[in-house]
Amino acid sequence: MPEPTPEEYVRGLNKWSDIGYTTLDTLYLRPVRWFHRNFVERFRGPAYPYYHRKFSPVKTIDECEIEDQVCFYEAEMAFLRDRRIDTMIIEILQDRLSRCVVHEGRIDALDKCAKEKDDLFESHANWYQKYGEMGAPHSCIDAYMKQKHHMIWMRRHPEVDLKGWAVERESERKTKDYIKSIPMPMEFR
Amino acid sequence: MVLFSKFRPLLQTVLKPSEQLQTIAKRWSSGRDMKVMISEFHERKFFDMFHYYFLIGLVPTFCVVFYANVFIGQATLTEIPEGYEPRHWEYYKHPLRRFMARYVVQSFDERYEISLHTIYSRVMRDRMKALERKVRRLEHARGDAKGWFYRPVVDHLTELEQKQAAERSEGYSA
Repeated sequence: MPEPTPEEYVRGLNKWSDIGYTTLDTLYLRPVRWFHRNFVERFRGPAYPYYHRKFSPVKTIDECEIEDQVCFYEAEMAFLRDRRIDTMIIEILQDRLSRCVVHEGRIDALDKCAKEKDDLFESHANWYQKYGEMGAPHSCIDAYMKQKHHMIWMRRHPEVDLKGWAVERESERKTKDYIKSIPMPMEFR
Repeated sequence: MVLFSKFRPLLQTVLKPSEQLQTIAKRWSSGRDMKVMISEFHERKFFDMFHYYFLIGLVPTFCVVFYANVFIGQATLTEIPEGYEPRHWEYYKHPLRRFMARYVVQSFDERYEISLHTIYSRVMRDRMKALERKVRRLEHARGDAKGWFYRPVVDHLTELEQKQAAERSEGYSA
């Protein structure tokens, strides 16, 4: 969802937020909407497109020849672009969690926002494993070496389970679904 | 120069300045007093500057921005159609940003290609220089060739001397 729509305001829950919303409404939202409907929509010119930039795939650092500086530069730019994309993914997931918490409330969020929290945690962990703790500044070669060392470490320590927390959450969810599927009257659940 | 003294009282009839501070009676002539007023220089200067920046700066900018946002509007995101390569300004949404990308600023792809070219040419130049250094080093070490190591310097005086020595050895004419 690239551009989320703002939600409707519910009047009558809280007197003070009603007053605040009404002042904002009359001072800003109503005049702007009136102007938009009566002037902008009438006199605006034809719609025209804009496009999302697509980058062609280039060789990564492990495929480059020795001393090929041009290839190194392209691989580095691709690496930086991918890192920026991963950072934006984390920002979106963080935004989702905060919206969920605000929607549910601080107490209900503990039960209902577990998915968003897990997604954010997973993405944080993956980002850190991929791009973190390499020193500033670092290059795509440092990231590649980090990946290599991580694979070596995983090969040397097969007993360490890095995905255990997800398995545990899965089993938690399965037990909860099973309990919900048992038909019982309301006061016992 | 003569009538400047008449302007201030005329101005004071039209624009009433804030009140007079003091009336000094001096002995220039009877019935005429010197009116001591607070300086209006700072007021005038401030309004001058305000009008200058407002009229020449803010008003045109506001009109341009208003026109771009209200009458032209921002672009809509669409898929790139098959077989069409969008121009570099068509990747931006706001009309003023598109204008800048089209006429003012260097394109993103252009900048990238220029960087690649710079890197490539520097690398080639460095390789050529390294090759030249290597050749000179080997020739100096081996000492078996004369081409690069001996710098070709034309010594006119020596050549002249040699020619004259040849003429002397041939013998003088009578």
